[in-house]
Amino acid sequence: MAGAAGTARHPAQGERAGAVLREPLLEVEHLVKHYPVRGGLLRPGGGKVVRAVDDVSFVLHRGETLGIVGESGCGKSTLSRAILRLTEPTGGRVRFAGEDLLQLSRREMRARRRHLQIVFQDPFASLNPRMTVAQIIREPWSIFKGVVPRPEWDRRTAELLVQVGLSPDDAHRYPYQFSGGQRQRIGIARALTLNPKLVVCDEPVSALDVSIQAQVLNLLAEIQEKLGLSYIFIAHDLSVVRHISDRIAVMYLGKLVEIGTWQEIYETPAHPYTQALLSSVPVIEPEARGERIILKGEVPSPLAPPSGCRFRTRCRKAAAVCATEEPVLETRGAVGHLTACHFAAPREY
Amino acid sequence: MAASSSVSRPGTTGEERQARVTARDLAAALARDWVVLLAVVFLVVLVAAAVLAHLLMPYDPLLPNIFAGRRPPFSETRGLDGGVQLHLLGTDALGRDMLTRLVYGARASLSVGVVAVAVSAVIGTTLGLFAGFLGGRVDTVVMRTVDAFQAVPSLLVALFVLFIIGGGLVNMVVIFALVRWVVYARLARGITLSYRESSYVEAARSIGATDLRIIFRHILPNMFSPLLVLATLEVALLILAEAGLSFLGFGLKPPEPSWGLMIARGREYLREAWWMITFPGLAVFLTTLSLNLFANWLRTITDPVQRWRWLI
Amino acid sequence: MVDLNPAAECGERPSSSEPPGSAAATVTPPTDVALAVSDLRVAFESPHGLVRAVNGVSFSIRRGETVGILGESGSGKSVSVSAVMGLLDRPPAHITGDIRFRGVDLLRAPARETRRIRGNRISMVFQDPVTALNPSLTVGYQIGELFRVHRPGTSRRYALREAVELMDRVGIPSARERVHGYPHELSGGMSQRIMIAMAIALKPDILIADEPTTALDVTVQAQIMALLAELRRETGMALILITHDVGVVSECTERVMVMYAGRIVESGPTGAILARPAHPYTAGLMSSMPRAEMKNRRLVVIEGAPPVMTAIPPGCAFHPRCGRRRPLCTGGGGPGLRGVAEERASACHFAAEMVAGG
Repeated sequence: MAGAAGTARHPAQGERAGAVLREPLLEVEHLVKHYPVRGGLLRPGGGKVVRAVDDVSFVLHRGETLGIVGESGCGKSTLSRAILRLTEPTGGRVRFAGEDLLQLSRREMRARRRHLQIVFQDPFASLNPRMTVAQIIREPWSIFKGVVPRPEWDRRTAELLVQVGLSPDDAHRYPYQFSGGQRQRIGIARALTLNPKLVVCDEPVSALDVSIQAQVLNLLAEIQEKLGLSYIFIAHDLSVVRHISDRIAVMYLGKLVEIGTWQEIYETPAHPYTQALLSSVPVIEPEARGERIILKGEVPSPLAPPSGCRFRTRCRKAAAVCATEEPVLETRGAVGHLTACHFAAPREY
Repeated sequence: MAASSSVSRPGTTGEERQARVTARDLAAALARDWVVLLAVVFLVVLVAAAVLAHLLMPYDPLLPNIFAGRRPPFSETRGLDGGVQLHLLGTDALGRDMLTRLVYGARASLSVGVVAVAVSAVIGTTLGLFAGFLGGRVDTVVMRTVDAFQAVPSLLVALFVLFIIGGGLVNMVVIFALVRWVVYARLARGITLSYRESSYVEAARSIGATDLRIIFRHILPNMFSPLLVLATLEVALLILAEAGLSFLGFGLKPPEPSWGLMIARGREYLREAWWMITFPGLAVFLTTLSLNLFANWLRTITDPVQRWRWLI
Repeated sequence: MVDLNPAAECGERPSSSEPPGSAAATVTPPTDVALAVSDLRVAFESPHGLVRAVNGVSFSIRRGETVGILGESGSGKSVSVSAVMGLLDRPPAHITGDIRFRGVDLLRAPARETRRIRGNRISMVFQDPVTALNPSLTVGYQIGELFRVHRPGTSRRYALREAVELMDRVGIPSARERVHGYPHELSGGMSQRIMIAMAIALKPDILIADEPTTALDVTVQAQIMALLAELRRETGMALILITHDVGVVSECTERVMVMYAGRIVESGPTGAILARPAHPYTAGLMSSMPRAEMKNRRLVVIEGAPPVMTAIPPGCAFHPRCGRRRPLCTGGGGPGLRGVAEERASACHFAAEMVAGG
């Protein structure tokens, strides 16, 4: 099932399609992250768990960008941290270049971190305010000795800064001396220091102004082209995700509800949640506006998700079967990509 | 300024701030705040005098001269060796020079304060760091101990223990360190908790940093300025405590020169020799006030985000 | 469970048949003007020097219209309306210019008089609904407080009944029970509904919404924008919508003012501006948005970053980032807001060229 996610590709892939190799880099299988609810002294949590990520599977290929979209609390950030083992997953497998990361000891995992990097959302909180840019960029090299030999540090630091659009003179400045967009560039430079194969971008532009956001998006695309990286790109902004992603996964309440190429998700979304999500985006061109689906109510608590399909309480297609039987993420009928809906059907615009 | 900047980088030019703060910058910032400057000058003079007391002070702080008792400031007496002695701040009941005893008293007060603070800060910070970072059982054990310590008034405990084991400089330092480590532990744990989940600690973990590296390189440096501020305030507190305990007779023993003891003796002569209580009282007051002023100034100046405000 | 109502689309978009009104700063305000701001300037004292947040902003709001103020952080859009609402402490803020609500000078009239207008005739909804509510008071109390403050003598029972009714109106389910609840029991979207309920409680003439949906998810944003549009239709109040999102402006406003470095750089009917911007900043903002047709291509970005407000470039403040920059742009006081087409104004020397498609 996870493998099929990768095979359903749209024939027309745009310019960058050539760079995407069919070889899988990351295979996530049945990944689960549950947080136990901590009760008080007299009121233990009662064994309750928050199902932040619940049985998520997908494949990421070399050189590819997988976008993960969903609203706050859907588990997309937890998913990214579970993949990188920044938070320990409760179960499942994360195979990176064929090796299951979850089976590794802490020590072995530290060694693999070279290849798996992350760019954070908050350009203010993700840089140690007491370190200069040079110190921030060089820290990985003092941990992974030999990646860049010490005599090369100055030259390589300058190179990286130029690559992300900063000046070599910036090396000796502190993070607070930079604007948000420039700080995000420093964060990107840090993620590139060890020549990783995969970079997880966790809402990398959502804290930035529109004009700065576009600069950073261009930079990320440029770097990918040059270095052949794979990205997992997490964002709540659907236009940003469409712009940068080859394939897109939609999350709702800890589950993947739909996954496909960007055309499949944006042009023929088949899950009612994806459809509602897309129709909610404000559009500049009046002629491009479709009918708006306004969801009623709120996202249920992840402590007690609805039985069966988790979206059924807000779904216009909900039927009796939705409460009893959980829909599997698979190709359905006329829908070429994977959806987790009993009544999946492309929406007519 | 921004107008002349290049198109690509106007954001950084308008607010060009200094990257490194030199000692000169600090001195300049200090020069602008004369109250703090006075406090710092006072503390520097006090520390220098305490350290160099045996070189600076011509008289013996312990040797009594019963013929020169209770002389007011600026009086002259004939010393035991026959020479004329000038007493800028007068003499005490036993004819010892007040200024000399104050300076030697500073040596006692400061060493109790500084040594006890250093010991307790190291113990408390280390325990707090690991409690906060490791969490779980370590955290529970450390923090319950802290709670237990904080549930009893520390000075009362110090007084009780000193009553049993006897006063003296070393005993006071040990007791103070044992009762005051909890404040550092609490501060260090709080700061550790707030940084443990921060995204730059997460970033450090993502580049393969070990726990020890994260603790010492990414979390500990954030504690230095609040710890320094706390330690300065604690020195002030312990100087007061030393004076108080010595005053009550549980601290240093006569004839040791100690501000607290001097105040205690001076109280007996409040009517006839005002200087005997006034000057040691003033010494305690000015020292703790200066330390508090300095601590407050440190708090702002050491914050890397606020620091530049003082330097422009 | 889903409302497939196309009418719920927020705001009515302008049509060409709409009667011409006042384009800011170009036409003398007609009599149906509710709020007139002229040459508003706001500066703050700071250790860096004077932060010039707003530098000569003039506009007027007609009764019942929906106006967008579009700009990025630091453009002065929030500070301008904060000045209107009297939310700035003076000092550190220095405010000059003129803010008139139906002839009452809000900057100079006695506090007793302006209090009757602010929070009553003009009300405001903020970006972060969660911090705008007092966590230690019940929701009902906070809504009811409005009546007690602005309508002395209101009974407790009446205030509570009104609160329930308002909560119903903004779409909060089981309002009767929730009125006794506390803010922490509400989600972000629900909290914003409460803020809106409070803002419309006294039937204001103007509602100012400062980034009302920025902190919310896109499906919740759709709910809130639909609610605002519906309330506007029912009450006939004017809506000033402050946002950085061109999409929101396009869908929800009739008229828009684009702000940059504390000035209005372009104003006019939303549809016309977005179809053919008359200022390079507006054009750059639009091309920075990742749109479907730009997939797999580089976005056309605005180079650099907005100026630091203590050192705004001379001449046109946008010139260091502008592709159309000429020597004429870099000096002097900069181009003023001038009419370029019917109801439209732009502060660019090349506005006419841009509108003509140059």
